Amino acid sequence: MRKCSDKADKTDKARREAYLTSATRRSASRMILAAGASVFAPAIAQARPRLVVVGGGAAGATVAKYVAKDSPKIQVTLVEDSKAYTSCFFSNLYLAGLRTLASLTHRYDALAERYGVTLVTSRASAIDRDRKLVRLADGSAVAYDRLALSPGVSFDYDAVRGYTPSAAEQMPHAYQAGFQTFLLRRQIAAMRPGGVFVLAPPTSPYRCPPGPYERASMIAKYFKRRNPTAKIIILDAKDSFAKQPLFEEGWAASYPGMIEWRPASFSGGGLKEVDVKEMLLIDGEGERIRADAASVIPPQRAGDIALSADLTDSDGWAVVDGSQMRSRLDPNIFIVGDAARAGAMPKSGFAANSQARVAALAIRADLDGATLFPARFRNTCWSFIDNQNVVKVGANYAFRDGDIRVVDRFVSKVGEPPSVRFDNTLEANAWYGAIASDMLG
Amino acid sequence: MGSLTKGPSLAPRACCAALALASFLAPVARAQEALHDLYAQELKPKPQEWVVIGHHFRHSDNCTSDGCVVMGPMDDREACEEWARDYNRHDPYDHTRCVEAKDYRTKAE
Ligand SMILES: Cc1cc2nc3c(=O)[nH]c(=O)nc-3n(C[C@H](O)[C@H](O)[C@H](O)COP(=O)(O)OP(=O)(O)OC[C@H]3O[C@@H](n4cnc5c(N)ncnc54)[C@H](O)[C@@H]3O)c2cc1C
Repeated sequence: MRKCSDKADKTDKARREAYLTSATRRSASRMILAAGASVFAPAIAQARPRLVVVGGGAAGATVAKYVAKDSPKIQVTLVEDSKAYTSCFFSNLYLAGLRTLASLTHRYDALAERYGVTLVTSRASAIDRDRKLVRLADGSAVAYDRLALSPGVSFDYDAVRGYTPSAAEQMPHAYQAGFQTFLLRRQIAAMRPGGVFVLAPPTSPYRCPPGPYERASMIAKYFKRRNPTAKIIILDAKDSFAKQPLFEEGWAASYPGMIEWRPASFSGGGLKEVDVKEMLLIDGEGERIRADAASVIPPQRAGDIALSADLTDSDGWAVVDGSQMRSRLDPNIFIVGDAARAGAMPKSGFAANSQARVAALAIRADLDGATLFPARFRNTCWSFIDNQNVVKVGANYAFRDGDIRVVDRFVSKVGEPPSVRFDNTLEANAWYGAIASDMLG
Repeated sequence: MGSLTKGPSLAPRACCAALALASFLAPVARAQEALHDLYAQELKPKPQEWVVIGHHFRHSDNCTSDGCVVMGPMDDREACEEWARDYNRHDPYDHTRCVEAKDYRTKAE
């Protein structure tokens, strides 16, 4: 993707201000042309136009940083529930003992100190779209001219009988990283020798399609060293999964006999009910599996705040114009990351970061007259199967014929030489450092 | 008035129920608190952590003259040593090894 900041990188303040004034006018007419019926004027009345970002994950932190960095004229406020961000990406490595949770946990300080983002540590409880206010849990409110909403996902707790937020402490989904991931690792470590671990992945779409299978691999990695007779049952709600031949190849080579995958057609559609007191998981055929530890990943939808603001479709995902990641239901709101239905893009941290750059530029065009470029997106998802075995899938995307579509894609191949898989390991590790510093550094 | 005569006898019962509930909940709350304390510890870098270093990533910030971090930090030394061994089987010239992490803090932290 083209760098978003070419104009705004200029340091000469006077030239910049002059440019901004004329460019804002240019931007207004461009918006009118681009938006067709949904015409609106950029907010230029108050001293500094205001962007509020709700959710400081891979998407929201990137939007906040890029807008604040490249358009200092825009006052950027980040509303985030937590003081620090623990990434889901690489959290499966923590389960295997290959990363510490501390190394996956990052503070927001640099956004404030380096780029002047105002940090508000609070939960956004509602959005008043008419008044353009974000209401906070303590009853106060923050006004915006543009809002970037990136709350990630929420869970459908009605999908599996007995699986409630408190049941999630016994059978952690660990699909929001932090306490949940910590609980899962404790439970894996506490398992009796030769015990059974059950993993229940959801129906699509959900965040990180290969995530559950990387999780099975990393838990198997842990068991191989610490509990070699333990078993893993994957009780799937689907009949196939991302990078399946690559995972199956890796499991046969590294963990023979340890992982059993049960497709939906084998189990009446996968997991239907849990009894956390008895540690029972019951599938659609009525088969009861007693687990020593389990991870149940419920079906997902956009974060609650997007649902309550009526920005989602009937499946619970936010509807956006993928050329800018602007809501199709409210032109003042951008929705970025897992919460959005983003055409052919999977829900991943890489994708969220890439969408965030597109949204940041569109926001800067609205509020600061930045020049818009055609949207281009990228994604790569690496999955750790074993120390020596990391596989990847990825694609370039562009906005074409009304949606985000694949331009070209690549995927690791079964039977690749080990040196290729090893290089993927290095690439993946380099990516983690790069995205963490791109979001929050 | 019925309610007046019932009043005194109900009050202690309600009180006992509240006490019983409180004494049932107290250990649960304490266990939760202990768990959250452990979690808070987990979010801090541990006194002893390990990283795999090698000669890749020369451009990285996580380097000393001995090498650069290719994996970690980890709290499981065995996992770290196994990783380095596996790596060396593929690329013996890289002299990859597992070392204490204290000198190699990741840029992201
Ligand atoms: C096990 C696992 C492994 C993964 N591995 C990879 C990988 O290798 N590569 C990859 O690219 N992706 C991976 N992912 C996917 C990746 O984590 C997500 O796609 C990414 O985090 C999405 O970013 P986001 O900003 O949309 O959501 P998040 O990163 O979840 O951020 C959302 C933020 O919003 C905050 N929030 C939510 N609601 C509110 C509110 N009302 N008020 C205030 N704050 C709020 C939350 O606290 C959170 O910080 C993985 C996911 C999992 C679960």
